[in-house]
Amino acid sequence: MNGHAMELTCTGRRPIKGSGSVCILVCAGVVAILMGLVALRLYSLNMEYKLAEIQRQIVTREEEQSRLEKDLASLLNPTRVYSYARSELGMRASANIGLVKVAGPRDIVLADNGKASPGTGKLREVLARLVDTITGKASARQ
Amino acid sequence: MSRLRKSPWILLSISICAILFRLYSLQIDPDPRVRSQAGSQYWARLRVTAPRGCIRDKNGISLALSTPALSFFIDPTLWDTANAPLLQDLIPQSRLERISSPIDGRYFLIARKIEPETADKIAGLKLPGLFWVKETRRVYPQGNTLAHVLGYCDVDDVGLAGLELFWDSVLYAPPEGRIIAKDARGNFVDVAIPGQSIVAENDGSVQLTIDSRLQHILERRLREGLMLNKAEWAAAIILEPGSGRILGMASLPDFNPNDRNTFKDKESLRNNVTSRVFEPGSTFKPIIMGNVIDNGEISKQDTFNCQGKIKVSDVVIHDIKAHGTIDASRIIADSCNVGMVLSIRNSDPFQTYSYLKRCGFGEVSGIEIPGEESGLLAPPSQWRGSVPATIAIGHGIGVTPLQLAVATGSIANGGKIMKPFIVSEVRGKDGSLKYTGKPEVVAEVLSESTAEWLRSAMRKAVLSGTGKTADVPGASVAGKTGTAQVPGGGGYQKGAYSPSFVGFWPSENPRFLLLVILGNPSSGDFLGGKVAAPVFRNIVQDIEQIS
Repeated sequence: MNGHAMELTCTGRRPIKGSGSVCILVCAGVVAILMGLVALRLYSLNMEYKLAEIQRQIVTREEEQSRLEKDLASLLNPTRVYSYARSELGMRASANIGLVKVAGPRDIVLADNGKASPGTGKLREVLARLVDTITGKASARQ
Repeated sequence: MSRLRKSPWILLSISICAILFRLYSLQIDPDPRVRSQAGSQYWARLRVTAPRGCIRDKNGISLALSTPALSFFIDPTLWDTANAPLLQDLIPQSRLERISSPIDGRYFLIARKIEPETADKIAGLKLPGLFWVKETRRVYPQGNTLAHVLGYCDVDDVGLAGLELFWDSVLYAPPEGRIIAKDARGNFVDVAIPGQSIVAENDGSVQLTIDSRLQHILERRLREGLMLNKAEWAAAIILEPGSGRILGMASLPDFNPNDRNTFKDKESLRNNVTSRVFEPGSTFKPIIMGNVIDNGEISKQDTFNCQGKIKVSDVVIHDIKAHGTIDASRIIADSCNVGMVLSIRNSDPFQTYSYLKRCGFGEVSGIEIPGEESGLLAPPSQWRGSVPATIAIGHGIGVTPLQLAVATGSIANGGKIMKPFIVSEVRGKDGSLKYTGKPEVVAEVLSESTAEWLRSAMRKAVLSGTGKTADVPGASVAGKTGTAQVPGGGGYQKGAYSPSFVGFWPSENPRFLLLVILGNPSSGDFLGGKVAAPVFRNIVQDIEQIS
């Protein structure tokens, strides 16, 4: 009977020992999770810092772009260019300018016994367009 | 016994749970009072202005834009008045005096939207209680150029005049509350909250039809003319007669929108092209002549006898000289007053009034600039006595330079009144297209043949008439001089004139129309052909070199 009782007692202790281990494991797990959370928080703080730094750089660049745009507009100011040309480069505007209009390709009358050949004119026009398409110099020709 | 053994673990578990709960309540869901207290320690909300949209010319060059600027303020509870002398010459004197003695409250502005160089100096002092915030400042990189058209803004970037006012709903972005972090010492750290843009976006823009190069030529030559002739004011406008697209608009005296000290003279703020009403004088003759010819009241071949003066009702209208027998085209070319009076003898005032209304006189044109005047055109019921005759020679009617240019444009383009426009495209704050300026025919007032005949008559005026000084060899300029007296004191002021010249080129197929007016020149010359026409010629020469 006693031996049986002892056996029962011993059998009854085993779960207590086991539950202690589980508790330790749970505590260790909780601590690990907490440390993980802390690590995650630190990592996120680091990322936030980097993000803020990048945003700060974006703002700085945008401000720089605004200033450069202003400087560019100031430099492109025709009044400034004109003053610079006169004072620094010594350039002078010509007086009493006469204009000579050079006829464009379509205005040229082809010499063909004093008459323009419609066929040649069309051919020239097609060729001119082809050259324009290839070279992209249509505006220059006009 | 077993309970005792279990109890430490139970207690530990309970403790951990309590700590976790407390951590949760403190970190995740704190008491609102704690949240508020912490928030006020680490974050501050400030009111800052967002950038205004850009105004650009037809080539995309910025004429008005917003650039970063710093505004400085102090927290009087943290400010040491002994530090005030360090800000000498960096902030306005009145503000310096104010912060040299104790101030109540937590906020006192000491400098608003100052230059980056000065701002760097102030920030570099790192004075306790001195804080700054980034804002934007309206800048006009080209200074006086196109100032009357662009207008200006107040210190809060709200448009007050010109395009800045007219398109304020698109350009202006209301101030925004901005969250700014503070460090442990209470200094502001300009770091955005993740997910929130640190800079207020505004893609609003206004693109003009103005070409900066033409505008520069217009202003430079007009200024030369103003100074040479010692005129009180001047105006010039260049447009495409075929479309109504305005390429340049100049008004003198002018101002610099970057410098508020130049705003003191009210006359310099007036856009003489759209807001000054003047009597056009002889530049009005081609417009009236076109009507009488189109109506068949006279023919192009009719001749008239000019004896140098003519009495109409109780008024004697004079000419500079007796032109003798003169045909309709010579009336325009030689600017014959008597010939014009004889030409409109059979005109119906009501029809003429209706014609002038259709030409745009007495009404605003609808150009996208505020402050446009409608001019003065009396109703035909009041056209008694000499009024129809004086209107025929450009007196007794008040017009704006813009109206005169648009009406003359109908001669250049074959008889159509085009609605003038100076804005080609407007985009909203989100970048969406809000408005597009495009050619619009308002009325057809002349026949093509009459317009062509008038072009040849005006060409004759430049080749052999009163406008010879406007001729540019090779450019084929056609135009008309004007020398109007200036009304005042119930009559006309003695010795006060508004010489003008309106013309277009090339006369066969006009690309440009230009009007030049100089108000009250005092250098001696006052005739349109001697004062305004040379300025016109100089402008044409310069434009032809770059176009």
